Amino acid sequence: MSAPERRARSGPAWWATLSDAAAADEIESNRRSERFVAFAGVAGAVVTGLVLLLVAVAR
Amino acid sequence: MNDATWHAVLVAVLVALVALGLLPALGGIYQYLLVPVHGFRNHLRRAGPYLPRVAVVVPAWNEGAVLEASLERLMRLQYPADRLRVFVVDDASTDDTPDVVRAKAAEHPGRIVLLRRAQGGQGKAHTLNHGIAHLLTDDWMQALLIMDADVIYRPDALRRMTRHLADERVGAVTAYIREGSRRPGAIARFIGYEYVTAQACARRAQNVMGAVACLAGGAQLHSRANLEAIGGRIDTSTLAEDTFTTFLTQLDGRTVVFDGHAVVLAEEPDSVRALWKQRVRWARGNVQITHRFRRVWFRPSRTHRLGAPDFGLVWFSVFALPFTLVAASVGLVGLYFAAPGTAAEIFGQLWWFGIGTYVFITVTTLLVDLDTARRSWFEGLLFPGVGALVLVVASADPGFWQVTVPQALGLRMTTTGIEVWTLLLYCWPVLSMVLSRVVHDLEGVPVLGRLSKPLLYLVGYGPLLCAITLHAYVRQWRGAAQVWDKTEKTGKVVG
Repeated sequence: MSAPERRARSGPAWWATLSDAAAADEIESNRRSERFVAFAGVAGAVVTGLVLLLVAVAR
Repeated sequence: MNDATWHAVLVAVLVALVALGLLPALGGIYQYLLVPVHGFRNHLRRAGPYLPRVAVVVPAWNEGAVLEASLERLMRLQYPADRLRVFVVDDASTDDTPDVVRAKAAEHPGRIVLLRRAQGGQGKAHTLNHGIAHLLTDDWMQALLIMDADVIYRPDALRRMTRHLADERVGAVTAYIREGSRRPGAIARFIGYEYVTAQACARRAQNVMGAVACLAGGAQLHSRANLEAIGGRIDTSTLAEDTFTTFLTQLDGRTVVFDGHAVVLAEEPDSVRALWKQRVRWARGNVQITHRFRRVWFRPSRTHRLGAPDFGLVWFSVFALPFTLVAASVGLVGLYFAAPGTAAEIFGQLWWFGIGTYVFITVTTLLVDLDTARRSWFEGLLFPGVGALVLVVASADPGFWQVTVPQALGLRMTTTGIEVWTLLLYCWPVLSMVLSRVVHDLEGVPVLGRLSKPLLYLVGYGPLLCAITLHAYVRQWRGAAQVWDKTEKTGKVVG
């Protein structure tokens, strides 16, 4: 598959074609981007730990 | 028992009251610890390409100002045109709602239908049932989408909901309702942040738990099988018909799924008074639900997870929040008089819990929805209120407000001043709820009304919600009439 063909078969424009392949690709893309909430939670925990450490040291 | 023993018992009870005040935060932290799990454990792995015939039911009473835009957005959904029909159930509107719908129906023949009730005013559930009864007379509908008249659907929202129905175990799907006012004021920005916590984060956690508390009233999709299994109608006996439907679905063994990628936009109240009306109704509904399903709580079952201990903790940590705040204040003030040393020690130990909860929840929330964070970061930081943040600092460093700040101002706090200040801090959880009522009452009052917004930031949006909830409980206890107060919308939604 050429690069233009690959570009045409990914992203919102392709998903809007509503084909089964496009829907499956959209699901997979959303699954990948959902992993960001894992990062958000871990980042929240790390920042919390750092802030608590800072306050504990400063007290 | 001698005096010393009674005193020890009293101190133990007061300490327990303070500990009770920590419970809601534990429920919140538990949910937020599950949010990152959702990054890898979610229903998208079982979703599949599926575009059923969807009937959209839109209950409408005097929604002429907002309906045209939301109907137009429905017509522009990226969804097969022959598999989408919209049924607007006009609940005897007195404005131009029927004319707006007829005009849109003429633009999109066969795709938009007006169903008119000659007599209305019984509430949203009755209006929905009028539409559902019509839809169940034939077998065209394979899935039912319930929405509010002012909600704007993103083009991809519907298909991101229907894909979950490819799994037959799923009975219903709910989208992520984002606050979408074009120019949000303070209240709308607070709500925007609140929706990230209560939907984008909490519902992801509930997905992981396998028990979802509530389908969003403005964006819930049911399979026909689920709708028929729960009786082919929406329950009308409570003010929380959405929660009732959610519970029935899960009690019957079917799953409810939240999809954070299916985004719809809604204009939310932008005044304290409008918010107060809306949330009193919701909170009263939750009281009704808690009572109606009392045999479900903390009773594990093989067919559903509503009885699981963690879901019960999450539900009751929200339900009991106002009472736990009162308990914490009573405990601290009581200890101040009965055992001042113990009061100071306990208060001084609470800093890590307060700071930890605040930072963890705030940072995670802002990261989960960066778009909303850009609009509402300030309201996110001040969600608990300036007063609560002052309290946390006082817990971490008692000398900061008592010595450091006065010294910097060239002042010195007297002994009486320190006593008053300490009691003020201990009373703050209750005081913040009382002042929330002042925020409500001041709004709209000439001249003095200007204090309402600054006072809101001092008191905090979280305590405001607690005050509203407490008010709702009192109304419910007094048996106030069930009234569906309409939230006024202007139709100015971005996106």
